Amino acid sequence: MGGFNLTKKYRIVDVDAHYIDDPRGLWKYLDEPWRTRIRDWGGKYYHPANGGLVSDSTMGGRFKPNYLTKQLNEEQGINDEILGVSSSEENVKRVMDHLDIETIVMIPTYLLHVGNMNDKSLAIALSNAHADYMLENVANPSKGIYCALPVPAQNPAAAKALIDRVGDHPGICSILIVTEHPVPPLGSDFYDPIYEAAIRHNLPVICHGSFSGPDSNTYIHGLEKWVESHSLDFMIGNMAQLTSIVMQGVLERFPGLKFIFQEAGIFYIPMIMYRLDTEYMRRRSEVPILKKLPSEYIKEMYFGTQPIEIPSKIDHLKYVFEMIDAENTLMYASDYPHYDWDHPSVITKLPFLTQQAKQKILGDNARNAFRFNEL
Amino acid sequence: MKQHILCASDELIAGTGRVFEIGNRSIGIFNINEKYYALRNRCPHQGGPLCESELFYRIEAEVSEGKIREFVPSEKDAIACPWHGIEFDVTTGVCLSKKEWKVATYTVFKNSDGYLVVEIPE
Repeated sequence: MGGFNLTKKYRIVDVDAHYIDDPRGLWKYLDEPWRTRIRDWGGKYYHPANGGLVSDSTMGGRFKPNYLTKQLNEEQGINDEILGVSSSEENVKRVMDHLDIETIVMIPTYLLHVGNMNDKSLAIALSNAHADYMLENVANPSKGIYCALPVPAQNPAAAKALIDRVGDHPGICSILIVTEHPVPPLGSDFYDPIYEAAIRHNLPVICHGSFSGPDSNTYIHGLEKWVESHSLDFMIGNMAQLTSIVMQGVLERFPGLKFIFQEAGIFYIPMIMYRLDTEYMRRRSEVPILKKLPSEYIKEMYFGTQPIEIPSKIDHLKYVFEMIDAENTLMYASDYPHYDWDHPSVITKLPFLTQQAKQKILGDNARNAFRFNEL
Repeated sequence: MKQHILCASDELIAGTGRVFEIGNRSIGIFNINEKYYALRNRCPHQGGPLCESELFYRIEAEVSEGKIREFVPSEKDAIACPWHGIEFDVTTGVCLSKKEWKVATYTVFKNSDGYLVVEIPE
């Protein structure tokens, strides 16, 4: 099984790929008492990596997360445990080479729970240990492997301290805040210490969902099916946080701070642009800090493409691209190895894009948005 | 059309499938209750290895007396692309969730010597 030979045409950056992190191994990076607590974490399986607490997200095995990695490993006779609890720099590089990805941004899987940890000291301990683990074992700018830094946003002072401690490491290209259920929403000045630290270290802010399913974390309690909750949750989270960030004037308070919203597709973007513009026209006096329309702020943000919606009438997608200035706002995201990942061909095959636009979406916009510093 | 001998029929037991590389095509062959089906091993969604799927039951439903009745037919005749789980009818190549998608299908049969033979356009 060969690669896809895309590097002859495009230099691809994948802005949202997931490392299958196992928190139990982080004890080596912790001080007591968390060192003992995490080392002695009981139970074989802390959490199913597919996100479903009590029900099956893979539809009886109809989709198989990590399938491409298993295929590539089998081809090379590599026996690596890929039960959702392990990964490695080598596995990451193998998939990058196969998909012709030059640069990759590693987002955690388990540690996306950081935003939902009511135990703030747990969130602080694990996010610090995760950063140390990733920088020691995975981040490798010379091979194009960078890491986003998930921060414990529920304690902005601790998050700021983490950013100040590791934010200048060349293996860090962004900070990450989870979009599901942050209280208060991310536009509040509660988070100003985080935004101040991010901009000081020249780091953008990734806003990313955590887990979604009818049995956990869903915004709309009572939804019964995966097809219901997974359709909505990350999109609702992104829309809520984007609304708060725009309307609270974060981009006026922190000019130049870059926001990157991920993993909710792209069709919601024009909807929220025009919805917020309509409301703002009536309520300008409530938010005089805004100096332009909300949609203009939104078009200064960046959006990961995955899971991109491809309608049967491709012109509908073309219209969305036009509405959101996609050539300058979108960044290709795979979300590999999660089960709704997108192959780079979702962009390369779009008939209405110029080669220049494809290259911008596939890589150039990411090189503008992220801090990629090769060693 | 050109015929290609694949394997002895007893090497593909009922309820299973296998992928064969024939020229520049990758073809999946499935045995459903001793009837054979051949499909192109390429998902129209994003090019995934569709025929590396196992056979699944096609879970169906109907409205009966005002309520949804779900049922499972007696034979497994669906496959699902391992990349994203999109299901296809093995017997027709038609996508179960988006009927306008259809995977190429080919004639496959057991010859008089007990070998599976597939017919592929040249």
